[in-house]
Amino acid sequence: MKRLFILLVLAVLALASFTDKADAQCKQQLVYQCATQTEKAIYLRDFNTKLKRDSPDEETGMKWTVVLNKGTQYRFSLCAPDGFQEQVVLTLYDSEHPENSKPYGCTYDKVTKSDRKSFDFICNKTGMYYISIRFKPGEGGKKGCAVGILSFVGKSKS
Amino acid sequence: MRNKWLGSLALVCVTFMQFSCGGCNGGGSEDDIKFIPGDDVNTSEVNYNSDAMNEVIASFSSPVEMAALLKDSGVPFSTRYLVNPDQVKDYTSSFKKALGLGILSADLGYLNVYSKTSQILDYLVSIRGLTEDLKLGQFFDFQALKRLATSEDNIDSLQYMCVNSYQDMDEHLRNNQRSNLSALLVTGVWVESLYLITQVAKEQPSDQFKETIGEQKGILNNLLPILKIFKNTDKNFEELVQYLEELKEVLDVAKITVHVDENTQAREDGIIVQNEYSVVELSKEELQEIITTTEKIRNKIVK
Repeated sequence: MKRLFILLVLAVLALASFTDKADAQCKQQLVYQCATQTEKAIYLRDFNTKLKRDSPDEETGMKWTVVLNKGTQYRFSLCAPDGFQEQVVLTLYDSEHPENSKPYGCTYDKVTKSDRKSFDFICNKTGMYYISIRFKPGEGGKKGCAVGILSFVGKSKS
Repeated sequence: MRNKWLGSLALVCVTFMQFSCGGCNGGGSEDDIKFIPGDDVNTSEVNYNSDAMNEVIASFSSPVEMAALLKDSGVPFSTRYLVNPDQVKDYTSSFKKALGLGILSADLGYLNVYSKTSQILDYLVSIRGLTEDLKLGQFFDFQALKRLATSEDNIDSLQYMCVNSYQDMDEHLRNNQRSNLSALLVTGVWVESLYLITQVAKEQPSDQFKETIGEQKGILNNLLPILKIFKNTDKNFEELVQYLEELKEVLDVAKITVHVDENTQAREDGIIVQNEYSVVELSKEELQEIITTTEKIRNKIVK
């Protein structure tokens, strides 16, 4: 019995280590790939998450807060492993522009049902904003990871 | 006996589940954090739980953002704005080291943005010392960074790696009950970034720099309550809070109003333009006061 217990503990630890390693790998590969695809924009920060949805109504993904500065053009890019990209969406919003009703921008257009890998945002008010990465409505079921990249495009010219 | 083993097994499973959830909790939360814009706010009344506090700390700007703005505005490079990297060798406490790491990270970001690879090595050496002392050495691959710094062709990779290392260190501190050091790291970056732009504004005044400086009032009003929380458990924070209160006093005179331009829409090239915009009112004398106070405080901090 004692041996069985030790084996179980080892199995649990191995699984934990494997999960962490897989996550780290997902993060490292995707962040580098995504950050270096932003052309001349300067990489500022990344947001990475694991995604898994067991039921269609389940809320998945994560949100982060980020301070954006007035007078700056930012680029938000989304990267996910092959076959997973079209299932996820990155959204920029704040308390006055809620995520589900009128966000500032997102990588998926619900009307045209089209995806874009990135969008640029000209910030005219310094403050705290939110970034979320989630499954699109009705998508999911498969476990995966996704990375968002925030980069500096330049001083706003608008 | 069997029950005892099953009990132990359940304990291991619960521990594992908690460990897994902590890992996926890396930066987000479902509670909305309110940005304190600045006017008429008593920052001593703001309370955060630890998750919310970590979220606010994580939201602050990257160590390269201010430098990127300066370069894009056509400001020429100058080493006069930077801290002597050897100075941090005299720092003995973790408090000083974490603050110094933030300051040097902002200077390293400045050198990276201006592609000054020949001067980067001295900063990398000093940063390595600080990261090792703070037990963050595993996030700072000195040999790889040194290799990248030997050629200007690698500047993008070097820049990426520096920012990524900073972010990993900050995240590690927050996830390991060392949020006090994480707060010092972001405070160091913020103070040095403000110092950079105020020094530039002193020599090359512009409306854009004035607005960026004035809007830092809101950032400080979000940073200060966090530092005050640590003041209760760590006496080292007292002096820092006192310095930043002094800075808050001069930044608070900036009047920030928000307007909405109903006609602003997404541009034809697909770029989204925010239709709310802020206006900062700050006189020449008030700006000068902020520049002088920032310089004084930053120089006290790096001493």
